[in-house]
Amino acid sequence: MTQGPEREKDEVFKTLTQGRRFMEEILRENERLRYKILHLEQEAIKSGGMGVPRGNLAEENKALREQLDTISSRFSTLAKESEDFLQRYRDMERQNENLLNLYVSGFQLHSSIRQEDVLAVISEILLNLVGADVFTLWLVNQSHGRLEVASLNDEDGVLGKEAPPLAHGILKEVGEGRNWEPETAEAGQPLMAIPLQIESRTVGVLAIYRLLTQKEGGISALDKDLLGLLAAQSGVALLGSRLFGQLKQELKTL
Amino acid sequence: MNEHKSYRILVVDDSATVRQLIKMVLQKDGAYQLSDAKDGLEALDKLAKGSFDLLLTDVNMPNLDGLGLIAAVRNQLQSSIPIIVVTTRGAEKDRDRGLELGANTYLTKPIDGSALSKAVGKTLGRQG
Repeated sequence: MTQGPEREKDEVFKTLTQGRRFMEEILRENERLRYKILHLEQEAIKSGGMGVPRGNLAEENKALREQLDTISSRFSTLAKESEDFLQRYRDMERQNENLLNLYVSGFQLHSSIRQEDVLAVISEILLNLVGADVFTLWLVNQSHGRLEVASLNDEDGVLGKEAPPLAHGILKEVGEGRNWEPETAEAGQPLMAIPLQIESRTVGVLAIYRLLTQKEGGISALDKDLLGLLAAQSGVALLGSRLFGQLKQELKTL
Repeated sequence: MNEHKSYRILVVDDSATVRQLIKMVLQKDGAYQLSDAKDGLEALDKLAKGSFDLLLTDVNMPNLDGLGLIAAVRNQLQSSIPIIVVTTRGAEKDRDRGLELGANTYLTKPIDGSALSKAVGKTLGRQG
């Protein structure tokens, strides 16, 4: 999975190394030209008394300065390119990490058929990979269509305990399959709520109320990718585990 | 420094998701033999029986937590193995406590793959 990005990473490294060598050469050339100009200027001063025409030296000096300007400009361009390459490398590293997170999350979500295991994995992903400290996972009860708390991660046990109807407030939007984010943060409101869906049907809602204190910058674009995967895969994983539970129950009664 | 040596790392976390993620992050760096344990007790047992170059541990775990594990490694096993803590506990007092007990590096979750990779490499002297 990581061979492509690894190869690309090596290529970027190679290009950066070549760029650095080229810049070092330019800097050496720059230094040499500066020395030459200094030397020529000294010669010009001396030659004033020796009868050598100053006009030629002035022209040579001008040409050298122009050459120096060109080299400096090329140096700036290369420095900018190096910066771009470095940024691309960093972006690739981030994408690599994101892919790894997505892979591990997807793998773990489907590693068990028991509902409590699937819920535990969802909590582990939210806490350890997204950095969500307080969150609630509601699932729709098939018999009456209302949301019920399936998993609650809050030491105070206050937030997300109530189970509002899916057609109410924030949950109305989520119930219709859209992520919800507040325009301005308000106490008691989630930072984000996402629907868990199976074939465009909302089977649950995940609401994040608070992030770990050390997590900087709020919910990032990468977090949203991961939450999107979580939303898509959790619904299926939870449905699978629920069906498995029902089957086991039916087998017992047979 | 010594790129050819294969370092043995013990990853301790009660979350299978975290253990798998950390192992995959480090596997791509190569040169590591990775073992894991789901709590401090299992880790202590593995450390007593085998030889490891680095211990990577969570703090919040059942049976024996990460802080208890660090104390046991330093006092009971009398081991100077480098220890990196990877935890959700980000408060200054938690960090101080971990380092005071004998951890060498204290990282906080959510897991940052490149920071983890760098910290492991630096601790093992593989990179600056």
